[in-house]
Amino acid sequence: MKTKNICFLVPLVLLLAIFICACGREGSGSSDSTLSVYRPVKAEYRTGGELIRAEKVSLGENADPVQGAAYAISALSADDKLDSVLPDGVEIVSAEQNGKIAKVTMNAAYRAVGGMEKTLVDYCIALTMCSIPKIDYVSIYVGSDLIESRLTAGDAVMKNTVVSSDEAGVRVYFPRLTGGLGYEYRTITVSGDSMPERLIMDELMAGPKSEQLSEALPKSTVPLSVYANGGICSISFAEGFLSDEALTDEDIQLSIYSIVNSLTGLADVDSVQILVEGREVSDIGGFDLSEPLSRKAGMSGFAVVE
Amino acid sequence: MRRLPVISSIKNSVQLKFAATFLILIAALLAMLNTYPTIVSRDLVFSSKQASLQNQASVMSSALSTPDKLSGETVGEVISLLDLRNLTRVIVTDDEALILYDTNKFDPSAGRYALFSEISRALGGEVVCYSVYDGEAFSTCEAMPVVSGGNVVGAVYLYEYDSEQAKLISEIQKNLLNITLVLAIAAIVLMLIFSRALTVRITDLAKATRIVSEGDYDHKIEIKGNDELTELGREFNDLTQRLKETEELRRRFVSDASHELKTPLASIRLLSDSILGAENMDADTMRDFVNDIGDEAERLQRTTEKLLSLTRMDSMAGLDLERLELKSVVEKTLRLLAPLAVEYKIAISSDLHAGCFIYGNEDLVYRIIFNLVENAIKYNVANGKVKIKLRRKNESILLVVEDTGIGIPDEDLPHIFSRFYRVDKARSREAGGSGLGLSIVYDAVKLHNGSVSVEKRKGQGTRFVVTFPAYAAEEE
Repeated sequence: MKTKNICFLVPLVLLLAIFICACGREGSGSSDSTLSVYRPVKAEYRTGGELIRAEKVSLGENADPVQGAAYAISALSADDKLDSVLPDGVEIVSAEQNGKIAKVTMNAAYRAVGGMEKTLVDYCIALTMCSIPKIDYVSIYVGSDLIESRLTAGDAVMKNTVVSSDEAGVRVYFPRLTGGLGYEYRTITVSGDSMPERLIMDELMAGPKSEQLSEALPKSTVPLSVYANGGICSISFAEGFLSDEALTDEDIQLSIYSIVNSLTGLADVDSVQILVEGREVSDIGGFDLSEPLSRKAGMSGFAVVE
Repeated sequence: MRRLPVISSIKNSVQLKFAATFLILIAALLAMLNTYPTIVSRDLVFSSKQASLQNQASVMSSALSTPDKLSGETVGEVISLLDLRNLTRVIVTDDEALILYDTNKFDPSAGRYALFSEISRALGGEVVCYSVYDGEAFSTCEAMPVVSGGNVVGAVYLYEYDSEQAKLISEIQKNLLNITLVLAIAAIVLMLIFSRALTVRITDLAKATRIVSEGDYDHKIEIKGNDELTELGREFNDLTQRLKETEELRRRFVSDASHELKTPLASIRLLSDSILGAENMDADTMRDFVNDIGDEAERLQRTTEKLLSLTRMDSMAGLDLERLELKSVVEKTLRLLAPLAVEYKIAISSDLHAGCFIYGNEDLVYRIIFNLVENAIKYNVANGKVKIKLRRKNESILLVVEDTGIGIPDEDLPHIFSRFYRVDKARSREAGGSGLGLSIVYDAVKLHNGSVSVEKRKGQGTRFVVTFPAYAAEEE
């Protein structure tokens, strides 16, 4: 009996010691960052509908995240259902951060990769890099040749979000903590007395789910009516819309484009007319809302990569 | 009324077994009814949907198979010529999975990359098709490559959400369930009725058995229906009838026996009282009386002996059987009876074959022969004859005892083997008979697996024929 207990305890104690040491190595103070490395699912496991999957990888303390990501991408997966991102012979030569862009340089073998395979490589790299906070774009080079310019995570559609002719996913936009706009998918169900525009506004008012996003509109905002006609969606708010003194011009712009981007995501809506108490307003925080607004370059949102 | 706990457990067990078997069978059938048709219809819908979507995809793929590189406009033009109203979503991509055309109104994704596993497989040349039923709707998915000049230049992706077919199947399921419930209730009700009817009859039988065993042999079961239980009821009634008759016989035997014993005892009593009561009885008279007492005592003795042997035969547990040569037994018996024959002036003759072996008990066989010959002597006429024959016939040994005596009337012939039966009471009494002699013969012959019969002789007298099974040589 006694020897049995010892046999059981010794490995446990050893494991505990290793664990403590491992934790200790990661140190205290600055938190270690985790990265989502996107890898393709192996062909034999693709029957479930999933093509790529994220794997959480921790980067060491004070490591350069872009370097770390490049390293993780090149490495093999710990999960035996996931394939390697880079095909045989293809390597990441270097990776560096340029403001919001991650500049990834590949070796010459990358030029030979084409079709779906290239798309997978490109977007596994793009999604992985964009999971690093403050990276929004990825540019891919071979040598000094720019092959792919400013890939974003949002360019990749990961799955079919349409359930039925009445139920589907829509993109709802919110301000990001790292600046600009980001979007989340929400599923809405259209019925006789709720049109999609109304449902999208409801989701917008409900607020974001992700911690990387913040509320688009102050809780005091009251949408009164929504209706769409001939490509223009008109939405009327109660008096006091975005009239809080504390709001900066930038805040106001983000709020407005949260509304515009969310609603123009629908195929039938090309522009959004914002009204206050049913009337057009010419000045909200320096903004002229008398004309319908369409999407603006530089105000498109980014996908939230968890 | 004595309680019979065994009855209730039997009732539970039979009723339970019957009910359980029946219910299990019905339950199995109903389960099948509720699963099989649904599965079959669902599978039918699966194949029909996959076939139809595959068809549409083929048409689309062929239409898009142009030598020009696929672009948003060209795809749009081609697709607009097709009828895609049933499809919930249609996506067309180029060979890099860039979405060229998307019918999704909620989030049109043209210009983005479709990282779907179905599209990736289609771009690899595979035709992908699957259908899923979740109880609410059939969701069917189809992806097919677009081939031009032997190369895959793009892929089409079709998705259909159909709740109509699903509703039909739900309807079927609901209806089947309702039918199931109705059938289940009907089955349970019928089963209860039938098993109740069954157990009522069995309980009646049990009750009747109890009543009869407590002594009421007149109790009869009502004959209902025309099945095995009815048969049982009839047999039961026959059984009680036979019980009643046996009981009757027993009572009569006991009363006859006690009568036979009482009579000599009464005489003895009378005689002894007379002797004691008389004042001055002379020695000779007293001697006569005492003689008579002795005779009566002797009769009593004989009767009790015979009764004893009868009861012993009734409860014959272990009978000592051995191989017997009948000729010697008969001869021995005749020697013993010779004085009696002389007294009655009867001539005895015999025709005995040797080699008549039987498997029997010597004492009992002796008793058989003795009683038959004794009767033949006693119930004969003066200067009458008694003939004994012994011979083998096939597998049996025949012993015949015939006399030229007074004979037995026709109406008495069937009863002579009954206990205490006497044809001529007066003569029998005088001869010292007890009415048991032939019963003993009958029972003893029975114990030897033989048979005894009686018939009138042509002319006058009686013939008794005893048949024994011949002794079969033992097999080694």
